This record gives sequence, C-alpha cells and structure tokens, in this order.
Amino acid sequence: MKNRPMEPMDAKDCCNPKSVTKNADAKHVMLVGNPNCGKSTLFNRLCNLHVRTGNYPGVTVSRHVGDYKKGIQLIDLPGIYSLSSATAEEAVATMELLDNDAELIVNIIDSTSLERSLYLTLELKMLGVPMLVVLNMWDEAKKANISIDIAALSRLLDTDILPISAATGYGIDQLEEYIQSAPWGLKDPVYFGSENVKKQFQQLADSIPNLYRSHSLFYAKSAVQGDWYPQDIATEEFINQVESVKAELKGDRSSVYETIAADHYDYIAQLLKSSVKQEDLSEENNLTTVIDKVCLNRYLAFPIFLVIMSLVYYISVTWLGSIVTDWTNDEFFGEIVIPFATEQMEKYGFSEWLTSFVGDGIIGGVGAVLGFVPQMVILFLLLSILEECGYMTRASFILDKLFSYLGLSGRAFIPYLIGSGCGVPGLMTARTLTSESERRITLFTTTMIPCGAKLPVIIVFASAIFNDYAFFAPGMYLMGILIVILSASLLKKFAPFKPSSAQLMLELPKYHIPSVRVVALTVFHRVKSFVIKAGTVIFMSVTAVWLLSSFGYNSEEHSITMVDDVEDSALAIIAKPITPIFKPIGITDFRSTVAVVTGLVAKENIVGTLAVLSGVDSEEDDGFFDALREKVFSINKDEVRGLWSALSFVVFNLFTIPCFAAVGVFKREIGSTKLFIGGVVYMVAFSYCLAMCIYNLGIAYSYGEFGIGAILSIICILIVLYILFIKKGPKTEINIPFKLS
Amino acid sequence: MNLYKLRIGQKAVIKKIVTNDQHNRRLCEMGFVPGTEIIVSRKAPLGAPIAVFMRGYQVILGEKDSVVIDVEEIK
Repeated sequence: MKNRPMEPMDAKDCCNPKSVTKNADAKHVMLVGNPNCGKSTLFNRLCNLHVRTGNYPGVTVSRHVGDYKKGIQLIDLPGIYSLSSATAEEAVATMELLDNDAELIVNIIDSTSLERSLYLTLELKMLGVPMLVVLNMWDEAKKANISIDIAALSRLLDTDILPISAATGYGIDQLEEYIQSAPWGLKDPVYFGSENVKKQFQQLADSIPNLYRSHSLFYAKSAVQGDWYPQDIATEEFINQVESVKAELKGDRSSVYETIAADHYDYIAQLLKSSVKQEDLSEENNLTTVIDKVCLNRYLAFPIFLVIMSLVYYISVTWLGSIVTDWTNDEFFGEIVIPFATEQMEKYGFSEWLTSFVGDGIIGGVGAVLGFVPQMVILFLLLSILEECGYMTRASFILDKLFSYLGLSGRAFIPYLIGSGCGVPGLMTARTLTSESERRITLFTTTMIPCGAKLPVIIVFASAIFNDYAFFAPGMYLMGILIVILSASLLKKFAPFKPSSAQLMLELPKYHIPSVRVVALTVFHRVKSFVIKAGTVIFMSVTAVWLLSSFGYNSEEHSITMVDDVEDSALAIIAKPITPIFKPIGITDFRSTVAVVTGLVAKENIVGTLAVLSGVDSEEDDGFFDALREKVFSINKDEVRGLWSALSFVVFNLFTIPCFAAVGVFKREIGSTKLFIGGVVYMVAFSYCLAMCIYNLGIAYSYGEFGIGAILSIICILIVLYILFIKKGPKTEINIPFKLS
Repeated sequence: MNLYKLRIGQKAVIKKIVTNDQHNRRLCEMGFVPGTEIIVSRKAPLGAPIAVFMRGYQVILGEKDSVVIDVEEIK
C-alpha cells in the first residue's frame, strides 16, 4: 500500500518491552477494542509477552506483535473508539487493519458497556475481514445482572461471539481453539444501519475499482468523512460523487459525522433491544459510585490525591528506600562485597590494577547503581497498582482545571506520571493528547519530573550530603513539579505553544482490583530494563571512566602508567579544562564535570561515576558517602559552600536534558528540527540558570558575598518575571504539523 | 441550555451539537448524538470538567466540550 499518511512504528527504546517483529508469512490476528476493554491483559495471557497496560486510554501507543502459535502472530493495536485518522493512535490502528495482511480481527468488547463498544464493531464490519467478537469481563456483566443473548447477538451481527474474562481466564481455552481453526480469508464488507445511508455508501463503493473490493465500503466512508483513502481512487468523478453523498447525508443534521454516528447508534439500540436484558442502568449503588463519592468529593478529592501521591513517594523514596539503599551501598557493597572480592583476587595473585579495576571500577560503579533495585521495585509496584485500579483517570479528572491554567488538559497528567518511572514511555504517551500545543508543552517538560534513573542521584545526595535535611528527597520531586508549572507558564507565551481549545473526552472506567499478573509483569519488565542498563551501558561507562581515571601520562618515564592520584589521570587532563564552564553554578571539581557528561548516557551513571572517581577505598573504611562529601564537594572544609554547590549540582543534573535515549524519543515525537533544537537549548539554559541562581543567591544569603554570579542570577529572575507577567501571549498559532517519522 | 449548566443528577436529552469538524465528529462518535438521554453524574472539585453518564458508561467532558452540547431537561 502506498501513500499511507503514517507508518505504524515499533517502540525500540530502552524501557519498552521487546516486540517480536512482524513475520510476513505468519497469519495475523489483530486485537482491536476500546481503551480499557482489557485488550492488553488478554494479549498478555495469550502470548506471555508483556505489554504494559493501564486502566486509562492510550497506553498502547504503537502496535505490539507477539508470536502466538506456530504460524500465527497476534498484534495488539492501540485502544480506539473509532476508525479514523484523526489522532496518532487511531491512525496506527486503522493503517494496520487496512494492510492486506489482517487475517482475523478479534474485537474485544467490555460486556458491561455494550452500547458504546459496539460502535467500533460496526465500523470494523465494514472492513471485510473475518471477525470474532469477544465479550470480555463476562463475569462482571453477570454480577451487574446484564444478560446477553449471545446467539441472538451473533445472528444480528453475522459474527461469531465468545464470552470470556481475561482477568480470571474464563473462556480463554475456547478463544485459543477458535483462533487456531478460524475461517481465514476475506469476506464481503457490511454496513449496519438504515437503508438510506447504506444505499449511499454502497453506490459510492461500487465506483471503487475492484482492486480494493474488500475495503471498498470502508474507503467510501473514509472519503465521505475526510479520512485517508488510496489516492488512485480519487478521480474527478469520484470526488464529485463524494460531495453529493456528503450533502445528501448531512441533510439538516449538524454534520455528516452526526448522521453516520446517529445511524450506527440507532442500529445498536435495536440490536440491544432484542438481545440484551439489563436491570436499571443507572450508576447508583455500584461500588465504583460509592468509592467515587468519597474520592471525587468536592472537599476530599485533593487531600486524598495528595495523601496518595505523597505516600507513594514517601514509602518508595524516603522510608523503605533510604533504609535499603544505605544498607546496600555502605554495608553490602562497601564492607562485604568489595573487600571480599579484593581479598580473593589478591589471594590468587591477580595484578594490582586488575584487582582495583574489579573492586573499585566494576563493583564500585555498577554496584552503586544496582543498590537501587529494591527501591525501583517499590516505586514501580505502587505506581502500577494505581494505574491498574483506575485511580489515574480520576486524578486527571480532578487536576484538569489546574492544568488548564498551564494550557494543558487533565490528560497530560498521565505522561508526567509515567515519566516519573521512565521518561521514554512518558514522552511516548504524550501522543494521546489531542491538541498540538498541549503535546509540545508536555514533551518539553515531561522529563523534568525526576524519573526512576534520577532517583539514585536524589537518594545518594539525600543520604550522603543532605542527611540533616529530611525534606530534601520529597523536595526534589516538589521542585520538579514547580519547574514543570513554571516552564509551561513560560512556554505558553510563545507562538508554537499557544494554548488551543484543549478537549477532554475521557472514559471514566470502573474501578477494578489490579490483576496481580499485570502488575507483577509491569514491575518485572521495568526493573529488568534498569538492571540490563546497569549491566551494559553503565558497565561500559563506568569501565571507561575507571580506565581514564586510573591511567595517566608519566612525564618522567614518558609512558602511560597507572596513577595513584586521580588528579594526575588522563580523565583529569580532559575534564579539567571543561570544568570552568560550571564554575558559575558552583561546580569546581572535575569529577562533577565527568559525572554530568556520563549522566547524559544514563542518569544512574552520575552515581556510578562519582563512586568510581571518589575512590571507594575499602581499606580506609570510609564509604562512598564520605568520599563524596569530602573529595567532591569539600564539605569538611567549608560546609555551607559545599552544601550549596552540591544542591546546585543535583538541580542542574535533574532538570537539564535527559539521557540520550529520552532525547532521541523527544526528537522523534516533537516532529520538527526547529522545535527539537529549541527544546534542547531550553532545557540546558533553564537548568543552568536555575542552578546558577540557587548557588549564587545561596552564597549571597549565607555569606553576604554579592558577586557577578548573583547579579546574573537576578537578571535571570527578572527576565522570567517579565515573560510571566508582562509579555503578552501570542495571537496566532503557528502550525507545525505533527509527523510520525 | 448547554450540558455544562445542567445540575448534577438532572436527566436531560441532547438536542444539538454546536461545533464543527473533528470536534463534532469526536463527540458524535463517543455517542453524543441528538436524542440521547444524559445525566451529569459529577463535577470536578474546581467546577470543571464534568462527568456524564450516558449509553451505559461514564465519560469525562471538559468545559469546552460540554458547552457545545445543547440539552433539554426531562421533567
């Protein structure tokens, strides 16, 4: 197929589950359904290949392919409400379905909300592809006293129907059997609706060349609705015909869309009348309503939200986190693993440099990062439980009004939340936002929320340097939020970010108990990618840092030899000339400069690099934390200055450009070179100025020293205040179209 | 009267969608077509957005989306 507007793409980034590539020879079974229908849970169950799911729309932002049985591949498409090419996720799903290799569509439907779900089913029936309708959450429908006459519904839709429950496993065996013996091969497309509309579409479809026979009806509808269709159909005669059908269909309705939607929904109402019996449909008295009465209560909603979010970060970062991490870093690695490894290697006569390489380089560096695994597990566990149970959509609901002041909608909360785990999927979920300006603001600011990889940095500094300041760790997260707010307020004063009327149409799903399987898999895969990163990228960075820091040029012997003091190493020679760049923000030690650079490869590297460079020396019995205090920030010499400089260092690293993987995704998602460069410059400049203000004004406050740095800081603050309060917002929106590359 | 002004719990029926293009389309596809019965089930603590119940499901609608839906109360 040529001229497709957008190519579906695979997620190839560090924090995404590995997708199996699509195999042209295999039979392709497409899983299609609304957001929240339990599609990804089912995909997981069938394929055992994990796809991250969440109880809110738009989690599967690109397709996922899984090998199912020999010769059969399952393809999980994004959750959609209709087949159009209006949003990125719908375009991905529609294009995938129009590809001629969709052999079977499995349309997954939430049995408890048939009326809305069947809309997509009717659209899918126009594709002319064999289809199975799966009534998911069958157990919940039963509980809600909805009785569905499957035989009647199946006859009326001319489609096979299976009741299942992806959560409990009910009906999965029959589904597997069906998929393996499915009736492959194209069928004739059908339009379900009134005779008049049907006739109009059929006439149009008849004039489409035979080549597109099976999709003819669908392309006829696409043409009428202004969606994509193959351009070789578009003869002048065809376009005229489309226009007359449009006029005919619109009649006195508000739009042609209304006519088609009303036609579909009328048909669905008839279908349901003869196949479904349900008691009172009102939402009184069910558990979701009862919980929402409390959670979305006018006075309680915000306090509950704040308590929940604080608890999540308090438990994972401050409380359990610091206990576990202090122990792994100081005791486990510092006093058990490194001395043991060193002792063993010395016993077996390894050379001194190799012993040092393994002890200080590999175990010291990689170990400093791995120490955070328990903490990640706790954080990801809590976040994925909240996602799964349905609370996150509620959070979007209560936050929407606040976000609207920033030119965002409540939906933007989701990229930020996912971004607190990892920026890469966070940036990708920004695709589900409906307005372009909102997407841009979100892409610019998502990575300013500290991600899982920045957590080790926060924790190490909280334990090693700011141990007297209990508020440091949560304070960094709070600061992240404030910086997002400030950035969004600044950005919306510029034309590319002019707020347009952000829509918010979001299904409010019922609460359900998170599936242990899905939560466990989510945590497992996220932590796995962290561990793999520690074993590969971080291992290599740490090795490079160690090698460069351990060897140096010996001017007496005119050769490269191992050096005792890092100050004489090759790394020091490279890094020292660059270090003055960071002098205005209070960083004067070259080790910090190196950490900033390795941090761009992966943020965890900051910890690993500092651990290697400050020389965790087991013999002297002072751990990494003491080394960091004394060697890097000279806190023993000048405590107050050292503290301000450390704070400035952390702030710069947390809020500057994210790791390269995230920068790559940012470039792809922002879809414009100009905006990409603008974004990178913005992030660097913003974080640099912020760190400069903190350090210089901090020093001015503590010592009364008022130098050029302080003056520059005040100028920065004045510029920000000018943009915030005096500069007028843009009048016209510059339209830079969104492209999937 | 538009949907945004409807009291919580008041039943109403959709009369007209007063917007164009993709916005109109999205609303229609989600089931907001004239003749549909609808109830505002909840309002967010800050007044917007609202949550409405219709066609057997609940959906959150922003202020800008709900003001373009004309409704008439059912007595």
